[in-house]
Amino acid sequence: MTRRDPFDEIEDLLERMGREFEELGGTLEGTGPEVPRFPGARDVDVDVIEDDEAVTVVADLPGFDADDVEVEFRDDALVITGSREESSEFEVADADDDAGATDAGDAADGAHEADDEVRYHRRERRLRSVSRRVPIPEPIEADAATASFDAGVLTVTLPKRSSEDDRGHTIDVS
Amino acid sequence: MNTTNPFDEIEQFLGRTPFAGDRAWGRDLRTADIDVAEYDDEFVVMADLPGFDRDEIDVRAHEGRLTIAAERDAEREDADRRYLRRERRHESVTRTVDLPATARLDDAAATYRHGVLTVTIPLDAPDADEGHRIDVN
Repeated sequence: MTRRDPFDEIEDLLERMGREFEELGGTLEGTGPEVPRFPGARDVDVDVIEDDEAVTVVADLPGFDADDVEVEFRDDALVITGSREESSEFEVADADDDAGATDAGDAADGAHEADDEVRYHRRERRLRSVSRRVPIPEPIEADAATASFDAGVLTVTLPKRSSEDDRGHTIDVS
Repeated sequence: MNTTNPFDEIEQFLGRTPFAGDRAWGRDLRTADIDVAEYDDEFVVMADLPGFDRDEIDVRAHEGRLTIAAERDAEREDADRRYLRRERRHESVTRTVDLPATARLDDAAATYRHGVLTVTIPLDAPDADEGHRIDVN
């Protein structure tokens, strides 16, 4: 493998940080009250892949049923929501409402007392409802979009609008 | 071992600042998020491993540690297929957890559902392993 220029990596890092901040702005508009969190505290990790025909969004939603997942396209962005009952996984209901944010830190430090019966050594997984707004940079055909959900991964395919539609009506030059 | 890249450490540092949480900038893409819960008679590890097949996940216990490894084929990227965003974890993920000495590994069980792996290991009664008690005279 080629050796990377360390300055590239700094640039990479800065660029990524910038993107996170920009995304924070994006998240603020799209979702519920629990959203104003910290930059980088993303709910849903996504890949967005573009090819000639479509823009494909792949989102990690581990632990959700297909029924719990909602996908909506509005304002040039795909909004993905996963909702679940607080107590659907083991004894989460006992946790404080804002435990998620602080727990990540606590858990990293090691043992974390939850209650008498259960002792959590680590608690990194997100067990509450999540949502994410993904801006789509290309004009797409929202009606022709398809979605599938398998093994906790949502895949949404958004066919691109063909360039004729984009430019309006073509008039032949004779 | 290979030398660490100093910039990785900066990233890690940024990821560990108290206000950033675990999933921030420096989050390690090669590990899975886990919950580890210890009950009186059971040790439960749950790992988020979205997008794997059952046979791509390997769970093993060795010398008091539980190792979860998952590997899938890499997504192809070529000229016709461009990543506009790439945040999801890598194709290859591993995570190791220390097990209590009382773990009964022979009776451990693992299930994978909706992208979440759950490993359940029964625990022996704790007093058996506390060591030998010596009376003070």
